[in-house]
Amino acid sequence: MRITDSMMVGNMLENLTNNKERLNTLNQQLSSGKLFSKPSDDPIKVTTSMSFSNQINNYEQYQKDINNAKSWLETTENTLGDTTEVLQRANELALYGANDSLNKEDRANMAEEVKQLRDELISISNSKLGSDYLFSGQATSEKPISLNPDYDTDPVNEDYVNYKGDKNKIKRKISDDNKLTVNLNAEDVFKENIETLNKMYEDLKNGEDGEKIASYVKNIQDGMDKSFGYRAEIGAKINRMDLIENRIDDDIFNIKKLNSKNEDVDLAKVVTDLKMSENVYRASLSSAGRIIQPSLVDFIK
Amino acid sequence: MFDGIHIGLSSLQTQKKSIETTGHNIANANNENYTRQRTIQTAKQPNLVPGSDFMMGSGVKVEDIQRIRDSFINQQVREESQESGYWNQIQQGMERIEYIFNEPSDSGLQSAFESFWNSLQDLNSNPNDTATRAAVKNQGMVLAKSFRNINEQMMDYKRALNNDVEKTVSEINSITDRISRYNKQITTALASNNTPNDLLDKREALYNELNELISVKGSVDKVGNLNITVDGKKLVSKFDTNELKISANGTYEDNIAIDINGTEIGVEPDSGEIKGIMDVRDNEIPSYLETLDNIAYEFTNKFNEKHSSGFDLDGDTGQNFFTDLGGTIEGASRRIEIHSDIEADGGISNIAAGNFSEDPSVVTGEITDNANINKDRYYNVKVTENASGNFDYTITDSEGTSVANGNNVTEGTELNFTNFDLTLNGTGETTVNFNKNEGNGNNASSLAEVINQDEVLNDATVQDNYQALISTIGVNAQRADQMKESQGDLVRQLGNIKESISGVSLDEEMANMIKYQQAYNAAAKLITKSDEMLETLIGMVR
Repeated sequence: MRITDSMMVGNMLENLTNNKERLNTLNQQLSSGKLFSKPSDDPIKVTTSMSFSNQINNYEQYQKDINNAKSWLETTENTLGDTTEVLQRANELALYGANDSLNKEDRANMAEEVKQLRDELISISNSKLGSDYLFSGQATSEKPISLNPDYDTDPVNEDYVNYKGDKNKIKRKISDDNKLTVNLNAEDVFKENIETLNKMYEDLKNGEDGEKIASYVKNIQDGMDKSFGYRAEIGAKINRMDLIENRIDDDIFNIKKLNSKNEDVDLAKVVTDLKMSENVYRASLSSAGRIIQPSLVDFIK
Repeated sequence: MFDGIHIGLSSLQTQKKSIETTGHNIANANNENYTRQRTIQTAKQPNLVPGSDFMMGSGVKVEDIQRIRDSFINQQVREESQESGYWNQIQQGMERIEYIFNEPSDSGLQSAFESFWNSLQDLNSNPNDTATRAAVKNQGMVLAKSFRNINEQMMDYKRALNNDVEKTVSEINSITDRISRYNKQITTALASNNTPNDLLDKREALYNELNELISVKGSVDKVGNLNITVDGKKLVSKFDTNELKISANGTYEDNIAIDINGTEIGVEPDSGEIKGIMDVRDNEIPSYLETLDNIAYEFTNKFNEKHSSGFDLDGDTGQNFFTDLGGTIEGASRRIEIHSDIEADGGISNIAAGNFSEDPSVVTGEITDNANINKDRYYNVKVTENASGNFDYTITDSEGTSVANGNNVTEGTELNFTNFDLTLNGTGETTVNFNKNEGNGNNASSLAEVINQDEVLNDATVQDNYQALISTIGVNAQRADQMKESQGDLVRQLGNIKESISGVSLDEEMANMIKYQQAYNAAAKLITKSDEMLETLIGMVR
């Protein structure tokens, strides 16, 4: 082929541009750590990476949701623990109070303690997580247990307290296909126990006999059993949350690994390639320098 | 005796002409449109030597100054540069479109969807928290804005391309005008037996340029006119041109036409830059926008449908989250915006986080008589799919009493009861009650599902549809890259071949220069010698 000067310069420039482009691509990969920066670099890898990052985003959100739900459940569990303690003490008092040999003063003291326990239970049933009442169903800004204003006028037929919440379940979505109920309501968990303690208090205050007091033992123990049941249920849910959380952690780890394989550059390879391209670029520059220089012009005097 | 001087003179003149041509070549060594020229030297008419039967040479003359070219290769370069021009434009367009969509990134539509989804999940956990509600509103606005941004930028780009078409058309007209003028000069020169080499080069350069812009066909007639047609219609005919025109139709998709004696006839070029620009404008952009519109439209409708089935902090149902898009899909991605009732001050309380149904994908409920509805009653709804693909359902209330049951009803069936209605949406088992309390986040998770779980469009989720769109854009852009690359390589290779034939080699020219210089010197010597010989002769006479 007949080679002309502008052909040589043109081809040389073309090659230099190509080498530079390659250098630029490798530099970009090295500095960003990613194999691609736009869809056309590798459409399949890009959409795979988009879908991975979407999954990671979702899982990380679910982690947050699970922690949220767990703090609700754990607070509930704690309050149920407190409830058990209150009921245990009430149980002891009921057994003790069944003893007819107690004098009036002892009964008055006991009455005072049962009253404290009753109020403690009311206060437990009105526990909050943040600004939300735990035990009022979905009426989370409604104080679940409040004193019944009609009680004073008719203590025999009226309840001591009223439940103000609803009986709806609060469901949390904690994974693509898991919704979990996190709440209990005060009517189921506390109301009966509060009424029992209130009656026991009234009886002690009114100096009822041991037999009457002893009749509360069964009620209190039923209440304790029920509390245990709720605690077990909540505990099981926390366990399930932990399991799901662990699985999500594993999933995130795996997806991140896959995604890294999909989109991250192999550093060793890129650095080697870069070094090589640099050499090629240098070589092409120096050869260009040599090529342009000589021509017959230089040799004709 | 004088023949020697004549021959020497003819050689001097011829070598001088040749050196001048060499000089012209050297001067144009870097003129990329230049075709190297060569003097064709030929022996002069020989003379019969008187009294003999042989002829005697009478020297040399320049017969012609030729352009060295291969018109077949030149034509190939032109044809391939039409394709190259086309793919250059497509590639530029696709690159721009990729930048507009800006994926993968933290600021594209995908991440707007993700953040919106996150805020809805948070709303499920904290349905009455002001900050969470504000986040849902803001992320909803960001999402709508992301849609609108893409649409606006695409439309801006489309407008810019429309201008490009206009510019290209006037460029084409300017080129054809100049070609027609060169036609006149060239034919005039040819008629008087001149070889207008440099004019031919200039005309060819213009013709090459024209080929990059639009696919044309050209032929040179007997007298040297370059006649050009596009899409079978005459563009340049001898000294006349038919102007290319824009026929505006007000949609940023202007067509081009050719004006023949005042009549506009539509032109559809099959390649060249202008075709590339028009393809990006009329095919690529509208097709991606159509997909985006579909996504925006279906998403908005589905989201609104779920949102309006839920209730807000005031217990009201029927509120749309996004402004209703009406019945037209076209332009949905340009029109999507959050509803003014949500955007207004205090509007976050209108976000419907709650739902009477624990699982709105199974059943949704609506109160028809707010005053008399029994809020303490629960309804357990069980919907199953039967063999014919329809729904069977049973509804019992919290006391265990059967309320209703039915067989073989279709999805979306509305059941009317005293004080309330129930709508069957899917299979499953769930509970409905008509308490309207702020701790109800049932609807929030069902809204979140619209984004990444529900099959909203083409049996796939919104996100899947969007990723498929990005993938299509990526594949098309990649193809355009490759085509531009390979077409460019082809043009370069052909250009190299053309250059190897027609290009100026300085080495060659220098060698020629020395060659001609030597011949010139020798011819001068011949004249000197002839002169000496004459002197000798004249001396003898003296």
